[in-house]
Amino acid sequence: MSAGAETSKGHQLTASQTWVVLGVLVALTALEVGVAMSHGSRGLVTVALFVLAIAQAAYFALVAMGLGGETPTMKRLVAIPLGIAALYALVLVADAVWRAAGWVST
Amino acid sequence: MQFGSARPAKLAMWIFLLSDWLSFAGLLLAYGILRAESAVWRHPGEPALNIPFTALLTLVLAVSSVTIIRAFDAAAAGDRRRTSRWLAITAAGGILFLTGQYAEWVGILHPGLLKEGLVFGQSAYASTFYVITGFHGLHVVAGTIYLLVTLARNLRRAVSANEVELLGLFWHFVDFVWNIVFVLVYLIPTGSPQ
Repeated sequence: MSAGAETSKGHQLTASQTWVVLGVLVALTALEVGVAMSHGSRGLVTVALFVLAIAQAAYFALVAMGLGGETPTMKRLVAIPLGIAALYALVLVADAVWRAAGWVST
Repeated sequence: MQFGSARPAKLAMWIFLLSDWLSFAGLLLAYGILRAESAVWRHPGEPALNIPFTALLTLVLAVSSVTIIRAFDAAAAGDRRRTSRWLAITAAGGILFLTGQYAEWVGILHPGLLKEGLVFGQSAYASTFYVITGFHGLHVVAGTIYLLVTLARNLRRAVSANEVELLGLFWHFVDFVWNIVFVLVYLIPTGSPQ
């Protein structure tokens, strides 16, 4: 990769864009609270909340933290550890559920 | 490896935030495993968490994330007075959040969780709650001090947009993590105590 081949737009948002960011964050938070207080099945509510949390985190990192305007190398630098933690969480929680369900002898 | 036009300080801040994220990830993973393994998460006598109140605190942090962007914008425009104003509003958001967390834990107008029977060490539900929200609260304290120090420096001599951008990254990270904590710790249904 040659020097200067990648450029960063940095973290600057216009005034109207910042209010859009706030609107999206408020809407997602309201949606999360609405889902949590709904009387749906516990499993479905949990899955919906996970999806909303991931969507909100991704939006936050890309737009509010300005990662979307960073260079591809910076994006990878940040996304890989974030993704690994999420993947590790999935595996460990699945393992815990598996053991809690009594599908393995300890 | 090149990082385009990213400044070393910004790169260092991102690396710091990633390492900090791994600390949070460790706590949240432990929480997830304990919760998935337990037949009963919230025991009889333990209070439920106050979702509407915490949703308000979440909104306070979301607003402060926007005000720190405005502070950066003002600093980039070289407007020292406006930068100070937005930094002060953001710091006030941090102080408001911490006051809310104190009210939730200890109580101000109403008894807090500690008096309602959520005792550290008594159950995984109580211990993970205090450790995760406490660790996050320490980040809010650090971020608020960082904001106030930057504000004080800006009142004496204009701080650069780069400095405000680094501060903004840390503050956004505090909000980023809170959104995940809010969903995992507060919103995922615990079921009725048994």
